[in-house]
Amino acid sequence: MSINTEATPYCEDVIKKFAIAAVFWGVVGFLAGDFIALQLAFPVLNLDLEWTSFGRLRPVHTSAVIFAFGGNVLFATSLYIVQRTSRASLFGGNGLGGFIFYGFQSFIVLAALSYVLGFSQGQEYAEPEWILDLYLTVIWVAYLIAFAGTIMKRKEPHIYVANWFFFAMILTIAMLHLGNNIAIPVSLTKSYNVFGGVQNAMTQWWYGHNAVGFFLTAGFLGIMYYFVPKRANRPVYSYRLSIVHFWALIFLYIWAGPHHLHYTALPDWAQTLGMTFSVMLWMPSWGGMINGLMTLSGAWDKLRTDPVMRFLVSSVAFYGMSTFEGPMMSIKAVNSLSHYTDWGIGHVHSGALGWVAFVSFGALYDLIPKLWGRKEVYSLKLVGVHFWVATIGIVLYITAMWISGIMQGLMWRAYDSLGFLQYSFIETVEAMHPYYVIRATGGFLFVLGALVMVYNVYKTIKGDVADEAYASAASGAR
Amino acid sequence: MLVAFVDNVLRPFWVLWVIMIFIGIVFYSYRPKNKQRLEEYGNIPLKDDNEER
Amino acid sequence: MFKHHAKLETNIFFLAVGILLTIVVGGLVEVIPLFSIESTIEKVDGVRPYTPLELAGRNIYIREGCYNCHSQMIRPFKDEVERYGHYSLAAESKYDHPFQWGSKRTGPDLARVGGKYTNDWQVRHLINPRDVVPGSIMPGYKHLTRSLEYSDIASHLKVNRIVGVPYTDAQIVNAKKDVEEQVFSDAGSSPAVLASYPKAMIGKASINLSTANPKVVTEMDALVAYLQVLGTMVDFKTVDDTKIRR
Repeated sequence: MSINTEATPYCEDVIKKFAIAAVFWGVVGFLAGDFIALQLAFPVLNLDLEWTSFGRLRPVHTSAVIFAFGGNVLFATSLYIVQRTSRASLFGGNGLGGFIFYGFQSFIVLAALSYVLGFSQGQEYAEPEWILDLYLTVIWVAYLIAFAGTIMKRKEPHIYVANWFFFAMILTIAMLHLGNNIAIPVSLTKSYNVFGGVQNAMTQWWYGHNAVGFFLTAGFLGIMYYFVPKRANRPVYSYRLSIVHFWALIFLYIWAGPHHLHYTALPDWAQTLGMTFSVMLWMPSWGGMINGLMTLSGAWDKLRTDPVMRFLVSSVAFYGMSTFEGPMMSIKAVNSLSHYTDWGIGHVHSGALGWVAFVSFGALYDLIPKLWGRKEVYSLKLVGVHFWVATIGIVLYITAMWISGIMQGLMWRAYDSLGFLQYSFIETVEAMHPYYVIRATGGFLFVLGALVMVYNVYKTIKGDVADEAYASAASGAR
Repeated sequence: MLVAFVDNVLRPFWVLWVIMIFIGIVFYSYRPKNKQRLEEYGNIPLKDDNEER
Repeated sequence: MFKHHAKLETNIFFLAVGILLTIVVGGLVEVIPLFSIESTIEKVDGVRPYTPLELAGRNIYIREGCYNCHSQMIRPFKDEVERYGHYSLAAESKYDHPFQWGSKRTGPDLARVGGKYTNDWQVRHLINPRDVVPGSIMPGYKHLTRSLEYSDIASHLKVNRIVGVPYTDAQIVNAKKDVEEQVFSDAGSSPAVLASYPKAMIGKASINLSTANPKVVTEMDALVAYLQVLGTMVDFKTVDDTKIRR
């Protein structure tokens, strides 16, 4: 194997744009989330305007955090990593990259506007109408070409495992997006899905769950497999485990969708399949977690000295936690209590805030200084502040949702001594109020942390260095 | 035909198929012969040409 | 066989094929049988396509994102059956494009809300939920009192027929007329629309609203017509329990 010692002219202008967009949409998405959390605690915040009701803003929040924030993080990191690990510049260069960038940002703006104005397909996480779906397909194909093209012109013979995860994400999301959105249009802004009823339920959660499995898991595992080794300056704990992790994860994930439909009118055999695969999914998930965490073995001091590493490692720990909770909740007996309650919301957010957002923050804090040719972020101390504020926010959020979810589930099924249902529905809603306030407070802290990041990123790009002593001590420890 | 294949072959024995594929991948990955080669790939992110530009 | 994994690692085309095979199989095994297995959708009488007005109301339900907080899927548990009514059947949503089973009950399940409350209650509740349920956290929907846009309702029925809802030619031709007939006929009367769509709620839901214009079909009328038919199509007194057991 000959190692090319000549520098490769990486295409980084477009990566910079994606990184900034990720930070921007992160703040927007977190703010939208906290606002709708407050709406649940204080309904007057719905303002009784059609454009600001919870029902229209919740898709804005989910799309902003999953697709706008998560998507831009994935574009930035995957297109960065594929160039570095292939030792090749981006296929299509800044031209194709720019098309993907502007195309995707305009898609986000159009989608958000369309929800607020009342255009929605009415399927969770797949709200954009058919015309926007087609537009996104074009952008996604361009992304596939840029990514696969870069791999095809690589100088490194082996395709690094992080790229497998990204590639699986790109292909699977394409399949899910096309499969779930087959619809016949009535007009530019309204269509009817070809699937109805129980079949539509199955395709929707095949899509919905694998959007989590591939967009928010496989894609971000690609980030983990590059940035954790890179930041720790040592290879991943076991490359062989990463191969098993990859194939087991993508194989098992695709079946897990029906656990969203336990005890519904979906046939039992499909529910059982979904439950079985969900429980098995626990194994590759923890295999991946161990692989990520053990990469640090012998370098655990970095957790103390490097707050960026703390973000990355904590994200993997949160990943382990929510991938334990998930299989547990997919067991039908547990699900009968947890389904339809806030427990599900709490579970999603322990994954979304703890895993997806934290691994993104870690990657961005490592990536942004490098992109702008800085040694390190403006202030590692502020990274530490961000970490703790956000962590406290997550803890408040998920504990509030655990309590409110389990409590509401138990209240719904509670009987009094005469054999009547003990609580009316509205009583169970009123009991949620304190937890909704705590949840919104946790969300507020998470937003606050993100604003600290904005400041830090701004100063980093500007070229400022805050506390030289601390920064050099930390990078010296690397 | 596809439906019949799924109904009669894939679904009834799915546990068997899953285990066979899984064992295949594990066998491939953990064969002692492949160890050195595969673990070497872990260094790819670390040998970046443009580092410390 | 194991030599080929090396190919997989070094050739993006083979990697793509490997990934596609891996991810396609799960979808095939879970989705395709739902179309071919007879027992997926129970054979019960009464489920019919939505009236044009109900369909318009359903589209408002989707537009406002009601599914974010309300499920339409009663699970077969004692407490749910007592709280909401008979557990939901797949047959009851077979004409729903898209399905609206939901995944969260911030508010109660609505699968059988039809007939539970009066039209007046529904209208007041939608305009300001706290007027009738003090502890409610639901948004108010004052804007639903505006007039309904239904000039193209026939094309909605046509597209529904393409995706499998058995609207007849006559129903498509009469779509617009049926909207007006359902709203402007007197509650309790039996206009022609009722023959075509049994159990439809006849009459103008928002008639008692002080601001209501009795000559205009409002979005409120459509949404309430939809809510009032939810879960009422199947008469469970006539259903043989052994035939719907999954």
